Amino acid sequence: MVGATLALLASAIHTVEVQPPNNLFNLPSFLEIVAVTTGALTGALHATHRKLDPMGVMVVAICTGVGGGAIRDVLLNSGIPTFLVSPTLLANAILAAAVATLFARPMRHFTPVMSIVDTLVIGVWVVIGVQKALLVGLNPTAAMFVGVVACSGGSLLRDLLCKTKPEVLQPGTFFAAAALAGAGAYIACALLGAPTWVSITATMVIATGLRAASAIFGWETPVAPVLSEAAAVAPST
Amino acid sequence: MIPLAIDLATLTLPNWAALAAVITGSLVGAEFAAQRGFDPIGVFGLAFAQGLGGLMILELLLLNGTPQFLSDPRYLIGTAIASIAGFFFAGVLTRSRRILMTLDALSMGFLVCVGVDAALTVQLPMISAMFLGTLTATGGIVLRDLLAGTAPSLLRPGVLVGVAALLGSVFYVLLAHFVSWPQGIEQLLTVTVVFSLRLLAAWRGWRTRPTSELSDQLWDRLTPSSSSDS
Repeated sequence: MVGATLALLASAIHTVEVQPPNNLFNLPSFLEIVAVTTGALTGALHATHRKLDPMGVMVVAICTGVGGGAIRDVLLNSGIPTFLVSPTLLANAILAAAVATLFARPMRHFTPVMSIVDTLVIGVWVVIGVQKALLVGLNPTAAMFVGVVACSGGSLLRDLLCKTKPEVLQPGTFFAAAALAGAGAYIACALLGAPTWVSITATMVIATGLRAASAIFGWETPVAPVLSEAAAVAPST
Repeated sequence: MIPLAIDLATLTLPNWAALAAVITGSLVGAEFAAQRGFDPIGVFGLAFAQGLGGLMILELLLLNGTPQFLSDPRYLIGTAIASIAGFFFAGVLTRSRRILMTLDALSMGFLVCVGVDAALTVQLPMISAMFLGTLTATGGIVLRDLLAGTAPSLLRPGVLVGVAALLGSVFYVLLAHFVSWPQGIEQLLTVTVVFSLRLLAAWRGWRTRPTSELSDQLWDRLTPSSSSDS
């Protein structure tokens, strides 16, 4: 029954067609630079607090900054990743690593500021990811997935390299969930035939708003309910 | 086959250099895995990761079509032979660690050349070529540590390894961009730089230090009064 409903839903979604964004209104490219730089900065600060050496901090900064975009571009198979083609992104990521290395101690006091900026840019990642996927001609479901991956890939790589638990997959403030909602908003707007700038604004507001709201009001993503008693007891022992 | 009078202008890194680097990396990876009690598949997995990881990431990023290690069977066969050797003769390999380390230093130089050449062939900017050279040379080691479930040793304080690849890549890109010497000579110089940096680091015990420590030192010197905080 549930399976049939899901299959029906899936086929309904499958038949939906979303117009690819017109190229007239794309995100200004400096927004991607800002997104990469803040990502690199947070990654580098994360790394300096985990006893990595300067080379390690630089690697983690680059991977956090450009990792999501790289995974997105490799998945979409649409040419060499942006961060390799234009030198600005890598240069900014390396600069961010240098800043974090030199100013690690004073920047300890600015962690809240960093997380605010980090929250602001997740909408940028989602919009670029979804738009690129739609431009390649992907279906809406895949475009949403690519948007979320582009948004969270950098953070995932950072946690893998620093040997910390991947923050994206842990219960906590909305991160990938906010990105998913933002991507959904883009698709919904596109389906309703809204102009591209409306879709972009809606995505940014919803993704950033959800993340900010969850941080402010302390909303946390729920933990999976465990059905059997034995399994519920096992982890606590 | 080998001409007696070698034309320096056309001499480049031979084709088997990448293969030799892959096999050396696989041997190191297999030895690492065998010493940590992995099963045959685990040994092969880590040998594969260390030997081919860097090249695999390079080819994925550059969208080179089917990766070369799949289309050319010698790569996988070499990795397989290296992992079998690592599985059965890990003790011998561990005892000859110095030879293995020397070969690994040499193959790191080869991989830097492969990465930078690939990036410059598709006319990427200089900074991307430096990045890809470093990535090709060090990606395998990081991937091996991730698969083995340990914190990537390359990124942590220890004997200087990654910096050698980074400096080698920067050196090669600058050389290729500003000095138009024959490619073979530039490659030879690059391999020499990486090789000697790694050997020197191992011999003299050059170690990298935690970034936070360096940063703290800097700020202690700048603000002597606040040295007691945190």
